Amino acid sequence: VLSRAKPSGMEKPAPRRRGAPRGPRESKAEEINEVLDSRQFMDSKDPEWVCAELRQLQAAGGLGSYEIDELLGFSDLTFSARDHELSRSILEFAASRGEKLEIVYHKMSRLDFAVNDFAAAAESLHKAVNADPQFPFNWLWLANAYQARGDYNTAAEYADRFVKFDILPYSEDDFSVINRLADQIFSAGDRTISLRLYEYVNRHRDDSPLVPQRIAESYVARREWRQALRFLLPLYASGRLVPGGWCALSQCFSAIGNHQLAIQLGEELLRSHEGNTYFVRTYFENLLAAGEYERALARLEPFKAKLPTAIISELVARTLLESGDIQGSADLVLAEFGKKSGALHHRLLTTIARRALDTGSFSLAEQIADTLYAASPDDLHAGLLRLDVLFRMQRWEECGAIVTALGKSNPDIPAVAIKQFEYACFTGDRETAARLFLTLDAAPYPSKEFALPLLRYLAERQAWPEVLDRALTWIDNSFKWRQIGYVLYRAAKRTGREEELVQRIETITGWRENAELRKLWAALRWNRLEAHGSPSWFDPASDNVIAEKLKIRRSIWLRCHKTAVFLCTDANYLGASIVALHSAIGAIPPDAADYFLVVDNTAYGLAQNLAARFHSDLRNVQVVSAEEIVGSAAKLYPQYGIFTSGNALAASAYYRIFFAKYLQQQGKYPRGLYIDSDLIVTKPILDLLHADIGDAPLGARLEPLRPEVRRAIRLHGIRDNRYFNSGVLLFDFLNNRLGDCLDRAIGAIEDDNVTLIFHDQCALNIGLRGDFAELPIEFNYPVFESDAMSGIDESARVLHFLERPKPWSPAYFGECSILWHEHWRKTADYIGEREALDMMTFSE
Amino acid sequence: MQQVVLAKGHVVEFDIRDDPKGEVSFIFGVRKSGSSLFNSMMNSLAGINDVNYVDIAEPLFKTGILEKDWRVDPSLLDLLRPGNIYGGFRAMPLIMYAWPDFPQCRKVLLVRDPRDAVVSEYFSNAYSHSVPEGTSDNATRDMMLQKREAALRASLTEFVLNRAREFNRTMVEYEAVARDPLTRVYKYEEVIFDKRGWLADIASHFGWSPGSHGFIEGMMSWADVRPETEDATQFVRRVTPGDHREKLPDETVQKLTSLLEPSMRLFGYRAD
Repeated sequence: VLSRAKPSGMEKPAPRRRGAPRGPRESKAEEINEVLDSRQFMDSKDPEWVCAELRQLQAAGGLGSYEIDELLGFSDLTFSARDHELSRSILEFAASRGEKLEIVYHKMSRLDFAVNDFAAAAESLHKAVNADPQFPFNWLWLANAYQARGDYNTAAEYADRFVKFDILPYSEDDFSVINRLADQIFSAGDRTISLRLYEYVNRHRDDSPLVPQRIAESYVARREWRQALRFLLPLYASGRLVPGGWCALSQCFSAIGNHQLAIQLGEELLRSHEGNTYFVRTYFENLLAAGEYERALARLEPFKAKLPTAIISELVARTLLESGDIQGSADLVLAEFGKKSGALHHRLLTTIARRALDTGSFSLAEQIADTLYAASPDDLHAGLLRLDVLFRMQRWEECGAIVTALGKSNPDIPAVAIKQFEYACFTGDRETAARLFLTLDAAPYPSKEFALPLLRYLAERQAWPEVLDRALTWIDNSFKWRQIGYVLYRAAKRTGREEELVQRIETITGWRENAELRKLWAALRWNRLEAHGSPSWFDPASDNVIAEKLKIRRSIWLRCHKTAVFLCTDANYLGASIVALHSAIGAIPPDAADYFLVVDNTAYGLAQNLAARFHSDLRNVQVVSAEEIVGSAAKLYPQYGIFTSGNALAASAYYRIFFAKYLQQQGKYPRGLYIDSDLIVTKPILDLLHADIGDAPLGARLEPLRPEVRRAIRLHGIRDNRYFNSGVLLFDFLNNRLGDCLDRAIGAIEDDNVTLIFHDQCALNIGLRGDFAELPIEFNYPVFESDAMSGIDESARVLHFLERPKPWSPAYFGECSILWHEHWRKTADYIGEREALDMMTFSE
Repeated sequence: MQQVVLAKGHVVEFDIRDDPKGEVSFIFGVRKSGSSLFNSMMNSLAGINDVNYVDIAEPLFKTGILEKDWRVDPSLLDLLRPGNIYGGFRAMPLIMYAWPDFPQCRKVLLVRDPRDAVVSEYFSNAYSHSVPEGTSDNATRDMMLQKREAALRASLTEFVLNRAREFNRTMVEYEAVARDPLTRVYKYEEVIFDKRGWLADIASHFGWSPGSHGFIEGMMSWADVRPETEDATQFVRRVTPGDHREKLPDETVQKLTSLLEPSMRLFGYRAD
């Protein structure tokens, strides 16, 4: 009919009849274009005539010879011509074909929308999405239909389906539909779907500051503070933040630790919105988070006239609670509760009771629980609180009665089911516990805490691998040691998978700042911590017990390991070194140390002979060639010293640095004690080997601030005048920083531009940069030529003859040289008189 | 070079490294609190430790973008890559708080008694601060000229009391950084006379080498300079702590202290 009766001026070919041959270029898109083109053509000509022709065609049964796209085109033509009846009948005919139903029903819904029949529209659209859920626009229209019916939640769900395709809608109006829906469900409290709808609008349209603000507020509700800041900060800087966003910004700053800024923002907001309860609450929450309890109570005054009494009481009670006055907080709310009880009081009292339980105030918790239970015996939360109190007080009979009552009145509530399960576990009812476990575990957990009784149950059944497997996926920043820490610790130990759990903890963002996670980490790492850890890794406030235990444990552990005691010398100092070594050996129990004598070529042979004398007494003295440890790495510059009165210091003084490095690399000894040749050990020093030097890589005595020391301090930029004497050095070879410190010291030795006033001592001070623990003066007691023996402090155990000449020199007339000679005599008794005389041959 | 397109359409280029083995670190400071010297020292120190120093503020300043705009621009987060240390900040770039990995980064922060800093700011604004080259749409230049005009018109007392609240805000914006266990906070007054020790401590915090003696002494030749006498028009005027007491009447000092109390409390500056 159409092909026969085209109006004049028609240039497009008539629609092709069904079954006519197709050209090779005819893709699906081209087919649609063809229909659309014909629609445009027909629209511009004579729609009434077209409708009349189509009615004739339909009456004659001629529609059956047309393709589905052509039928859809006819429905569009008739819809444009406002002949909805004809359009619907064509669509119904098209639907009977079973092809492109998503389009057919979509167009049918358009007819329903045109007459405001939103229920019918929804019905058509449901058929459309059932036919093809991947066609995006039907979801949007479905949302539109439900929104028009006032069912915003369902509408939002369908809009959410649309925005997940992330394609542009056909019209600007569709943005409005989505935005309005987001507003509606946001206002109703939804922060999940609304977030996705707002994000969609924000991605494709950026003209409204309210959309990014709402996105931010949604993130705030999800406690994703940093994500929220991303949206709020640009609005804040450009002055486009409206009050709700301002409040959200203050919440974000408070949550990330910018308390003062959060409080300032709150105060600025309240200047113009002092009657807004939500803003006031947020402001006080921020004050409490900052620990500003007194300020919070003082700031409440101006609000007393503007806000309901119940809100003021709540804020006072919360302030008291957060400041630790649980009883005061409870008294206040219980007094209010006696006059008028509301949901607010219930929530607050429940919070106070749980805090009382956590702090062991069982009687207060019981008083509150009983009050709430008496006021609302049918209230589930009151019943659960009372049950928790009785669980903690182990009053099983009463627990049983409540569990039974709650189970009858709330058979399908997971929180009740888990209490029934816990009760069965506590009372040893294995059969019930096993049955409930299977039921509870099969359903999705309603919260993180829900998993805790199940983990404990598995632990009771010794199913340790399963506990650990679950723990690895369950654990996060909300972990509380008190709740499940010991169970997880045992699971890791029993399965030998401590390291696995440690590594999992270390993947949790911010675990180092979380004292609860640190506890579990430290417990799992304990055996390694005693060797490789440091008490200073732990927070003195929250981890003081761990730190103190670790100190004690480490001191015992150190006693089980030998210390490397070493001296460094050349031929000049060999005799003095042997005397010092002998004095040290006499002051240290046999199993506590191995001894090393680092010597250069000039003294190697003689040193070997002398060391052999010690072996007979089970003392292991090894002679080490300096060449082996220094190699060609260092050029030593002893001539730089300017306070040595013309006596060039021996290059051997530097060996201590290289040998310390060597010992650390060997990894055999946890600690090393270096002693100078010009000292003698007069009293037992085992406690020096195991001294607590905290997290420091080195223990040494501070040098008194003589002018030349001050100069060295200035020259080398030593902080806080912490310049040490290098006569007695206690190295912690397990300290990770020691290697770097020694490298820096070696670097200073090798750097031609560095002036080392005190030679190796300066190099070491440069390397350590104040990173050392102070040893008591008794372990490196300075002795000067002018000192009288009676003047030496009783506590002194290591005497250090600092000045030149040294006490073995004929030119030394100080009284204390007698002390040194007495030790030389004892050494002679031990190694032999001839050897004692020989070894002093090279001494000056 | 990496380009960043800021929210207002400005395109700025930065030299950013991407070293998966490295870390992202930050150098924070406060205006008129030694931040220029601090950043110069950090630039050198980072260099010898093979860490790329990125001055965020300088290219943005030269482009004429206002600090208040760029420090909240999420585009800046695109610049954060391991192997770089980001500096040049004279106020907290608040947008960094929006970066989820920010708490895991090492940071250093240099602060100064805000009373001294705000006094210094007066002289800076009035006399010595450089103003960027003039262009038709250079907002920074316009703003700085306005500041200069305002400073020259006001007395020192008026100026410091007017600026105190804003200065306080600048400092308390750093609270989360200051409380971060991975931040080392330095007080200008404590480090300015011991720059060698300061340098060593910074290096230790980042796990870096403080450099050879020659490097340190070379740095000190330009970093450890103190003017013998004061010249109001010079950028480096006085480094002595407590300068505000010499320049302001007691009554103004009291008012100023009260206005700056939150930031002074935060960073441990005493009121007396």
